[in-house]
Amino acid sequence: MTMHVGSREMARAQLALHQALGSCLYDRTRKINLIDLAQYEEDGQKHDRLALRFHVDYRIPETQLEALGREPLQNLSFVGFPSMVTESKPRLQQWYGPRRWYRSQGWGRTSSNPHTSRADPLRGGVSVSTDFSGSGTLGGIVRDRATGNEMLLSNWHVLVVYWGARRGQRIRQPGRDDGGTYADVIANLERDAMSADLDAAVAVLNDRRDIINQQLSVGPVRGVRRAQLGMDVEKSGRSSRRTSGRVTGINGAAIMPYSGIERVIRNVVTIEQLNLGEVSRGGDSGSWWLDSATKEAVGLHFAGQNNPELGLAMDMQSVLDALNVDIFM
Amino acid sequence: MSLEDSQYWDKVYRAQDKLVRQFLHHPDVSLIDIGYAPDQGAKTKSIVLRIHVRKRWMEADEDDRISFPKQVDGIPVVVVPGDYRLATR
Repeated sequence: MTMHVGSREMARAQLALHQALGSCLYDRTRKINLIDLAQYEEDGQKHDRLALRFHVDYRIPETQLEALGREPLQNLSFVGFPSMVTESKPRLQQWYGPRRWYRSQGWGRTSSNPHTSRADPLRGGVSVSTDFSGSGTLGGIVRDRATGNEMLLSNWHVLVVYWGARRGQRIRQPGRDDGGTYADVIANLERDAMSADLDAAVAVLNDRRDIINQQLSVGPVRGVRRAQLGMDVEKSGRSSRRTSGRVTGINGAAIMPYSGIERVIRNVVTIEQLNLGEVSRGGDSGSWWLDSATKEAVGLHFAGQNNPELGLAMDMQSVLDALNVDIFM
Repeated sequence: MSLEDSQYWDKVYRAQDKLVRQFLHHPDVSLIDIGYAPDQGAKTKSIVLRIHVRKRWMEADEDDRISFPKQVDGIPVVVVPGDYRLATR
């Protein structure tokens, strides 16, 4: 049954919409995608009046809103019109054409793989890159011991890439070859640990997205510990997603090429496959290996090989100390 | 010497350092670490130094490739295949 709205009513409603747009649409903490006018509905009952309808990614718990100093959207009223909240994420539906070219332009997020899609809130196990390089993995969130700033931790060869890179270099999520664009910049390069023979770096987050202590498909990180021989471990990576392995080597020193220069990488932990499963794949660089039993971080993944399937990581505590950061929990 | 013995581990680390200084920069070597003796794993918990070598070393004739010591300061040395790549796309 259609609802008839008089012209005066509609004019007032437009005014209410205009006020709501001005005060709410750009408030990024609320994750609002759309504000429109709809028939007012309460407890499943439709009423013969207009209301403002807020389309959000997800409903934010009232306790969290309270902590942010925000009133729940459904409690707001503009020009006497009530408000409703609905969860919906409308996205553009353009045709992407030949996949490779469009992706090279930074367009197209057709993937339903959460590891290569836009993540909000940010968490470990998702794709990241600089403006010009291939993708690696956002290993996880850390906090600067000196400033308290929240940062993301990954590899030097994911966040820095070239020897001439400058502090402040932009980091995108998802990475460039997963469709990330300039609008997806989430962090800026801060420092690296290559002078300590560790392929690691951190970038300061820019507050455009929320963050949570979560490894996609694995769960929250519960601390940090040293890897031990025989320890079962697991990780969440951009390419191979959730994989498991067993620590078979510790305290390694490796030689690897970085933009044409061979460097020694120390405190290397070797991880072999469990039950013939995959350990890692290109794009997993920067993943965090966790002790499967305690979910404590033991290593920062940086290299691997197939046949035999093996992954290399750096001792996490050494990485955290070299970068002067702690795990965000 | 038990695995919990810190003196034992000091000896292992020193032996590893010697091996690293001597061989890590050889083009056929990719990694030198500490692990269990192969094919025994956690059963024996016998610690060895492991030299990870590139594919070309594994495929070369014995006479045409560098040889490694069988032990350093009493710590056994084994050679394992290891041709690693950075894990970006």
